[in-house]
Order: sequence, then structure tokens, then C-alpha cells
Amino acid sequence: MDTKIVTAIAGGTADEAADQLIARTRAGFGEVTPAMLIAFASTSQPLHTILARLRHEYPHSCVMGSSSSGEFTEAGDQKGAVALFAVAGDFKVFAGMAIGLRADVEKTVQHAVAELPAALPGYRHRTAILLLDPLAGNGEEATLIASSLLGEGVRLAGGAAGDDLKMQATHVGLNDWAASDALVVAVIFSNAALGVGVCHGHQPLSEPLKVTRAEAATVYEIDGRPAWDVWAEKTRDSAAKRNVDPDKLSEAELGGYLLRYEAGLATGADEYKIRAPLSRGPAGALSFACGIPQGSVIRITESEPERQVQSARTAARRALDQTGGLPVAGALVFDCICRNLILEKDFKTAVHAISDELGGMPLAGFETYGEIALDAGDMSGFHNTTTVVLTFPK
Amino acid sequence: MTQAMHPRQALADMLGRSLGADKAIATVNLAAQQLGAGENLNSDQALRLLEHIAQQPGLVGIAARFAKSRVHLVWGAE
Repeated sequence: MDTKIVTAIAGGTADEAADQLIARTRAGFGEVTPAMLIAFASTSQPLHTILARLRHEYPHSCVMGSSSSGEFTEAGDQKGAVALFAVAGDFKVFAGMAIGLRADVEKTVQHAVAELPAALPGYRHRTAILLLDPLAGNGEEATLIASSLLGEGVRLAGGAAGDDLKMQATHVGLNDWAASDALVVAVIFSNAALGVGVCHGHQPLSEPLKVTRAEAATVYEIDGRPAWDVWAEKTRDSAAKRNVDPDKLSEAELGGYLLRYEAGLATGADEYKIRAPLSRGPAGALSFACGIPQGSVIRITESEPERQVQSARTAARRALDQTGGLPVAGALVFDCICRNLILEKDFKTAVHAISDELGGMPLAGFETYGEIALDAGDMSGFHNTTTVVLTFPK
Repeated sequence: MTQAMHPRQALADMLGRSLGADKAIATVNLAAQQLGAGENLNSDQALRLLEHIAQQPGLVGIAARFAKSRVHLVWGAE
């Protein structure tokens, strides 16, 4: 059976958006039942309402999703909307969801994957999609545990939910259930490999800085000073070029500011693993989307618009490389919100660049607070500032 | 059969993907010092060292447990 992908984007109330998405999906698939539908919903359309409507329409499909901070398809990007990716073809999809990430990441991931099959006769490849709540502060931990439990050779892709930069509550959902402090793990069985590509476009802005006091995902002090004080000092000159003063940011502007200037952990010569600060707490502490161990050495990073477009293109190319150049039917894209903040109105250029690389195939995705990509042999799977492209074979 | 030996740095490289190179090197060196491990390790010694690091809470411990599975798969097969 050939792969068929339908993408759609719609605004309005949750029910209005669901009506449009279902109409578009029905028109695209006819009587064919999709194997999986993934919805990315802004805070204007409660995720549980969207998922419940989709589940009611497609009771035999895997329906999942996350809240988001911007939504897009190959046709363009919007804010305050819902983007949908639906795929039918020679795929079998199983998914689990669990809550309790913040209190016990290990047990929560175990619970989510407990009933997922490890093999399926007649299917050669397994690929996993992870959606998680980044405000629980353990994105990398959850990704590594999920990879360990799923086993060697399972490629992982996914994203950390958003909430339109409010940094208050992010949700993921499965079938007709949505929750914060949760994660969803879906395993896709296929006969042709799915491709996962990842790339970021950030470069160091500061000299090396030592995390001198931290606990779990909260950094209290850098070089013996409140973390925010150091962040503001090191980014002030760069921000001034955009007429922004870090000392005069409103609470609403702070999240976006932090997502422009993220932390880079050196992982090799000129290679950096980017970690996103999501919010500022009392006494200038910064909370991240995953653990930052005390003693870590970071550099504050930034990026130019052109590098953001180029890295999106590179991610798409890397995903294609993984499938040996075989034609793809479309892609899911998990794209860091920072790209949107940096590119602003030109964000669509990055989306078009990905679509170009994929030969104009349909794609859908959302603006994340973190991205997940882990291939066999990789030692880390949670990213920030990246584009992650998951391609589906034709 | 003699097990292949690997530099301690190889463990730091594994952990460095999650923790950053500086933290990973400091963590591996401290654990090696505490266990009296040498500069080069066979897979059993590497697993013992990672098990020691895996006792730490949070991301450091989880990254060490993840690295153990890679050492089992890759070094254990040599």
C-alpha cells in the first residue's frame, strides 16, 4: 500500500478547527483509515478537545498530539492554530502515555512504554516518536531512558510541547486524553526505514562560563553570580542591536529572550549541545528543559537568520540521507521556537527550505521548547534550537 | 581471552554528549580516582566505573546508565 499523507492547518475555536481538519482529512483519505494522526494545537484550542474530536472520527487510528507555540504545514505557518499530520500506508502504530515526569522520570517512561510491542511479524523497522512536557525539566533524561527501554536500533524523533511562550503549562495527549507533566511514546512499525535528521545553527556568543550552583534543571549561579545576571550581562550588546535591553524586559517578553540566547555545552571541537533556559525564578535562577549538572561549562549562544534557514535545510537533507535516497511521502517537523523568534516574518522561508529539500512533499510541524532526535549509537537525544525532520517513505 | 583496552577518555566522550565535555571529563576522572582505575580500561572496568557514576542523581546518573548499555553492546562484543 502506498503511503498517503494529509496535512492541514486551521484556526478558530477548537471545534471550528477540528471541523476543518476533519473535513480536510476526509477529503484526502476518503474511506482509507490513517494509521496515525498527530495534532499540534496552540493554547487557543485546548488539545484534549482537538484529540477527542479526531479520535471520535478515527476510532481505529492512533491519535496523538501536543500543545505548541506556532504551527505550520508546507502551505505556511500560523499562530493560534492547529496543524495536523495524518499518514496512511503500510504502517502499524502503537502508543502509550503516562504522567508524573517531574516526580519520577524513570517510572513514568517505563509506564508509557510498558505495553508497546518490541517486534511485529512482517515489519522490519521500528521508529519512535516522543512528545513530552518540557516544563517537567527532564527532557534529556526521558529521552535516554526511552531509548534504553525501546532498545538499540530504534530511531527516536519528537518534540517538547509549547504554550505560545507563556511558560505556564504544556500538554501532550493520546487518543482522548491530554495532560501536562506527561509524555507520549509512539512506536511506528514499517517495512521501509523512516529518516531522522537534526541540525542547529547556533554559535557561541560568550566565553566559557561555569555552572557553580545547580540542582536538576535549575541553574542558580554561574561563575558564583546569579544566573540571570550573567545572562543579561553577556547578551546585552547583542540584544542592543535589536534595540532590546534585558533589564527592561516584561515577564511576557522574557521567555522569548531566553530562547534566543541559549546555553551551549561543548561536546567536541566547535560542536555544541544546546540547552534552552525556559524561565527565570527567584534570585535570578534559570530553569531549563533538562538537567544541567553543577560543574558544567557552558557558553551562551546566538544565531543569525541565514544560519537558521541553512540548518533547517541541512536537517531535511540528513533525514533523506538516512533513507538511502529513496523517495519520501512527507515529513513531520519539530522546530525550535527560537527559529521563529529569530526569523520572524521570514520563518516561512525555513519551512519552504525543508519542503524544497523533500521535493515539495507535504509536511506539518510545530514550534517546540525542545526537540528529540536519537539514532543508533548516539549518546544524547534531547536538543534545543534545532530542526528535527522525520521523513516517511513513499 | 584478553579484553580490548580503551582509553578512559572514550567514556568521557560518551557522557559528554549529554553533560558537555568539561563536566564529563571531571566526572569520569573523579570516579576513576575513587576506584583506582587506570588510564586504559577493559569493558568490565569501564562498566564498573560507569556503575559508580550511575549512583549519582539526575542527569549524570541517567547518562551513565545509558552509556553502560552502549559499552555492553559495543565494547562487550569485541
